[in-house]
Amino acid sequence: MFKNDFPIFEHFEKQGKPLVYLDSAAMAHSPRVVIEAVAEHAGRLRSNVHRGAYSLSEEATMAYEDARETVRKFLNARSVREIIFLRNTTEALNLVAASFGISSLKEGDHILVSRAEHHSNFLPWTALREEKGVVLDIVDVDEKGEISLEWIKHALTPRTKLAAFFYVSNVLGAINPVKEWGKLFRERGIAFVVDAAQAVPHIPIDVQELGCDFLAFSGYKIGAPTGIGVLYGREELLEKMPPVLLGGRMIREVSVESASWNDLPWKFEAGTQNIEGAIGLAASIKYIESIGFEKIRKNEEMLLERSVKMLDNIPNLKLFGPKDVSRRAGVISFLINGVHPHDLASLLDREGVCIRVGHHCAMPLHKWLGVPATARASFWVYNSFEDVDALMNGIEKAISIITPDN
Amino acid sequence: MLNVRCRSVDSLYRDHILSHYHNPQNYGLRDGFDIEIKGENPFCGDSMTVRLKFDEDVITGVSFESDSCVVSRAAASLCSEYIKGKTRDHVLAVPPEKITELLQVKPTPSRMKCVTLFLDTIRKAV
Repeated sequence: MFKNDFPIFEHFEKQGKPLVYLDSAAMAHSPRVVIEAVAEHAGRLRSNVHRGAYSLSEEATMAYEDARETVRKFLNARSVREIIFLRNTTEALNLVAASFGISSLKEGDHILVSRAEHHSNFLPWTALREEKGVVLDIVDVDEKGEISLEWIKHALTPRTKLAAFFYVSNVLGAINPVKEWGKLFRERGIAFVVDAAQAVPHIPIDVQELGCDFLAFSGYKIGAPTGIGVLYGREELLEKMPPVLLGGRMIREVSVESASWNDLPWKFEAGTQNIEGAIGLAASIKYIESIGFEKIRKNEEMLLERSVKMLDNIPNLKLFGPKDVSRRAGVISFLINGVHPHDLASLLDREGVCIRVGHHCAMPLHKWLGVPATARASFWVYNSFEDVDALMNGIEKAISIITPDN
Repeated sequence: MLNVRCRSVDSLYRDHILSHYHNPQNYGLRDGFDIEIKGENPFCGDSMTVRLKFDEDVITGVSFESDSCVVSRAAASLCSEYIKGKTRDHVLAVPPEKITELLQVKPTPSRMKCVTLFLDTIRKAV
């Protein structure tokens, strides 16, 4: 839809091999405005932030903190003190486990997660099981990838202290009713961690409405540079949490005997951060806001509708996740009997079509689905019906090459 | 860069390799074996079981089954024929280039683990 805003497509058109990019769930392309914002910062405002005594540094600091304010508004957080820049969703979730988890959870406390989590929202909690003797309870998804409120209630125990869930599944595309759960967890005093990595590119986020205590996302999934991500945390919780990475910038005072920590959010931003990344992230958020989520979602639902319909018509092809596209965001995973996903990806690549194959960092989910790997196509703002048709043609070609008798 | 990759992918799915995928040599686990080894490539979901029969140091019988991609099964088919009559030491020293030679094509880096799965599997036990 907005292909012209993204230089990478023009680059491949000029080579005579148009890029049909269906892997935005792994990495979304950068619009020109983001690339230019980063280049401009590097060429005109590059300076370290917060401590400089010259005007260039002050301007760079303003740009960095303006970027933080852009993120705050994007998530509707109450204050910039609740917005922490770090590398990506994985780092954000690990920070919550290492800081909140270690300081606030005790042996015998329970953590609730789903079987369909990305490894980054699974392993930090299993680590607490090993390190602190916390009990990990796992709730299953149904075959569409959805988890009912009843199942959640059933899985809670009097000692459940933390719940960590995906907002949108990176394999099944299912959208969890996070707002409903947020209310339940708040009533029961359960800290609620939301992995929003796959939601942020597709759905507007309002952390007040969701009622979550922590929320994590990555910039590269909305076209920002790699190496920038955000942890949102409620101020009351972040205040009490100890920092994990120690060093420059996150201190107030240091002596040989002791140290005191800086205010939020800088307590959790040790050392020089990915300043250019933050600038790029702000530019990518402004780009999305210039289109508006209503348009983004409308386009995406049309693409999902067309894809689900066409894939469903291919014999020997199994679709995973909800068929109702209003309950799905961004991704479609599938498996073709007789055509290994890796072969499918290679043959699609020959046609210039990029999909992802494997376990998508969700091995427990794939084990539960009973398949070693799946093929996954994912959409973002630059995709169109032509891309969906190219995918279908490529699939049919692959089937005819690998299983010519069918 | 794009064109080189296309040529390589084209070659990967040529008749020679597809025929080894559809009618692999030594396919179907046979009784009368000395060791059975399982191997996996969890990255892409390939799995394989191999049975070997030895006469002292020499491999005299091979059979295998796999739930795997074209490249993996075709390479296994070709390798299974190649290792018959070879010693353990010889099998341990087979370089990836040999498999490429048997396949008659050089796979892209992302497919190398598929290509070497059979040999990596049997090396665990040989």
